[in-house]
Amino acid sequence: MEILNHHWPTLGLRHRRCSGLLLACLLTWGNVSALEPGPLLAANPMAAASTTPSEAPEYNIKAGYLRLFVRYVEWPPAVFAQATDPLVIGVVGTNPFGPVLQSTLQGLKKQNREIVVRPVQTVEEAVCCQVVFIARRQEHDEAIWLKALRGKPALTITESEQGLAWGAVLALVYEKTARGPKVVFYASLPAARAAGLQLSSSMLVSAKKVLKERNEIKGGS
Amino acid sequence: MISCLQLLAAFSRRVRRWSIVGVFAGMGMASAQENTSPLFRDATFEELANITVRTVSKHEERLFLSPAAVTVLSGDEIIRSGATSVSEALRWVPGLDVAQINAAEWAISARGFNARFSNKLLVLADGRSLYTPLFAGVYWDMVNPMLEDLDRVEVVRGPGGALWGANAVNGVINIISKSARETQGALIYGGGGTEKLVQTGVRQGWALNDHSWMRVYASYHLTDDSRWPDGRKGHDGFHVTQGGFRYDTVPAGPDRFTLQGDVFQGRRNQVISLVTPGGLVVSDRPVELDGFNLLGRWTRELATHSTLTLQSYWDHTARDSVSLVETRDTFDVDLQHNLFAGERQHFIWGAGYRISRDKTVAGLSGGFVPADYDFHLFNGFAQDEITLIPDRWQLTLGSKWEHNRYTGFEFQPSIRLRSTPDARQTFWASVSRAVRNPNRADRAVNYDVQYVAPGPGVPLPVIARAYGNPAVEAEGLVAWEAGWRFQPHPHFSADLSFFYHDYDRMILGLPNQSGAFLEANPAPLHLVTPVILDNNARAKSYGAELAFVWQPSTSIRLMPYYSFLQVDAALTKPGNGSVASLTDTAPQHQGGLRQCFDLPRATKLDLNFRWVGAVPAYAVRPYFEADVRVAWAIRPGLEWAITGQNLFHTQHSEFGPQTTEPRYELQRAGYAKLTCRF
Repeated sequence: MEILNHHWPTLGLRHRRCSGLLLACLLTWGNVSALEPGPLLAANPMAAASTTPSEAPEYNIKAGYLRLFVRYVEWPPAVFAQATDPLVIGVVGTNPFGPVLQSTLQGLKKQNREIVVRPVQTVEEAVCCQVVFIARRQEHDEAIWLKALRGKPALTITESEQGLAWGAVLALVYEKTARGPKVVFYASLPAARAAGLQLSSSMLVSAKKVLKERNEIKGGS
Repeated sequence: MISCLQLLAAFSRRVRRWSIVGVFAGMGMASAQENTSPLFRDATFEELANITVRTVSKHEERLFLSPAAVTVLSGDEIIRSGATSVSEALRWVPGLDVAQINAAEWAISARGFNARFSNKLLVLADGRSLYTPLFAGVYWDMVNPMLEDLDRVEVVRGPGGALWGANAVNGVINIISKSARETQGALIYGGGGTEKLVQTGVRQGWALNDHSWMRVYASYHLTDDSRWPDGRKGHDGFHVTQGGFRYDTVPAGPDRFTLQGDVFQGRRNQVISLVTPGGLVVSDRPVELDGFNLLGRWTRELATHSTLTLQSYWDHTARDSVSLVETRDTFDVDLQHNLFAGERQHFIWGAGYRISRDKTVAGLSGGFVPADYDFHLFNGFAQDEITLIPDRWQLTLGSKWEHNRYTGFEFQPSIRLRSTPDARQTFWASVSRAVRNPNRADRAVNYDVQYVAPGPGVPLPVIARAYGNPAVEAEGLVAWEAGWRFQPHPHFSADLSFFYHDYDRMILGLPNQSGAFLEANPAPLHLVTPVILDNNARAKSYGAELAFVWQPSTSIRLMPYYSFLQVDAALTKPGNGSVASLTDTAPQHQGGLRQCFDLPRATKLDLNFRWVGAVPAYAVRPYFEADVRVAWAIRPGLEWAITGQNLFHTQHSEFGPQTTEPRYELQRAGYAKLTCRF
């Protein structure tokens, strides 16, 4: 229950918006019997109509997700040696975002920390990052990166359900819909717990699937 | 410029290749999209989840999930293997039969039936078909892209399925170059060694504006003679000079364009014996080759989940050798429409037309009748990828229809089923029918292939002459395939595929003794034994391709592989001929081990071993060979590499002569190369 001891600034906000069940799920971690994001998703007041374009390139959408993840995930304070240390997003291998990730993150600060995007070539470099994005092209050694980062306080993000099975905290995946392919995200509570990360309930309510126990993906629509 | 592009940008063989394997990895077109597009700084999760992903072609699937026997060599893997050409890199693809014939020529096939012109393989470079309809084979000495600019090479073993173009019977090799956006800046490489005497190349890429990119390149490669078995020089040295460009633009709006082209010129020495009534005539006239091509591709997003791609190319090649002169112009136009129909269906359909016009000049031993020919090929295809149970079961139904000038309509359906019981394993199975259209040689060759000198019991010179047969029909294949990929552990994965191929109406030449006739012109008087090409045989093959990856860490990668192949064939028509040219042309067993090490101080070490079984039809004995490459990044952008190739033998033979050419053997080789990027 170490997460309960952490300061959790976003939680108060979520109290008003999320069901008690969700909050219970979030705070109880494992052995949660029912987390059904589908119906809750529809009821979420954040799903408001807006001027967002109806279509966009894949990595512009994914960069948008990364920006939100940084906002809605809390890292243990110990990961930052100094108060002025930046929050580092590492991109493993070839960067599929181009300049889009940097541009999307512009102006964002996390608890007054700068956000920095860095290419990552080695595990040692990855361990120093608070977010590690493992792109599709890294399929051949994705599982090894994830194994090396297991238990480290890094928000690991992959682009496949397989990645989640190998221990990633989040996965950005395609979902086929009647109106074309969309990007949705899956989350792994055990991986988040092992990393000491707190995923806010308002973020989890938007997850298309939530892995509640190791090696098992449940839920979804 | 735009009108020129629109004119040229008709096009799509490449796009249709996207689909069967989904299109792995390629970030190229995707990353080329983004700089003019919206940024999401204030969107909510729900808003992001409601945005349709533009560019359906980017609907990539992981290699792990592709329902076919697929291997992908990334550009980096190709460079690290120490290969100096695409054909050399293909050695390391499990299940491919890759044999170097001499300094410049290769015999490459999948699942058997290997030959200098393996005629059941489709090879594409950025959507441009590389096989010559003359033999339905590939002139590998004309395939010389700059390896540094390759994004990847995809290899599909077995019929490509409904989406691939003509000739995709036993496999498809898809050579894909990087988008111009990904090759910005300058690159210069230079090197040389004992066999690869000179390798030089230069490329410059730049941004024309914030949504258009361009690159130009040029290269020159000089290869030394290989050896004859007695150790003498093979007189087959080769040099090729090639240049080209690629232009990619992603203007704001729904359109994307690519325009690319290459031009090359080369020469290969040879000493060849030609069959004539007067005996074998030895010639040392070199083979001259040149060509150019221009390809345009235009992709438009029609609706939020529908993409239309038009691709067209013009390809000119010329080969001038003492045995045959061939000049060929090919024009191809293809259209593909890609759409998501509902939540569970991904539909692709398309159509294309190709005209390939050749002019040949017969050599001393004969040529083609008629000498010139226009080959027309129409094709249409449709495929529906149906999600039966999301993330668990997927069914792909498709068919291809072709109409060619030789055999009329050919129907090629396929059905594929994929199961992913959990995130760590994929099962797939398929049944497909594929067809190899007759090539020009099957229909129209008229070439003397063997000479028997007069002697005791042989009063006159005897010549065996291969005759094409205008009545020949397309070869058919029904392929049953299944595969299993699994990754039980982060450090270990396996990719197993199994197949059973049933071929009918196989084209094979049989000597017709009773049809022998006397011929006085050209003198001297001689007896001609016709060898008539016809649908004379039936064949069955089965086998397995097993590939494993063990990665103790991100810096060490070990990849053992093994493939087994058994081909049985029988004549279906009376005659006394051998089916060895069908059954014994590829090794029954092959295996290897690739090892990649990322060492400290930016050093990369690659140790690759391969074992290739005997190839009885070409009298090739089993061999075990090794390539080693060590590369140091002296500083970022500057790399120094030393490569050793075929290290285990002073010289060894990988393939044999198919007619009256000599047998060549490859020597142990070493070369050094400096690559500079800035």
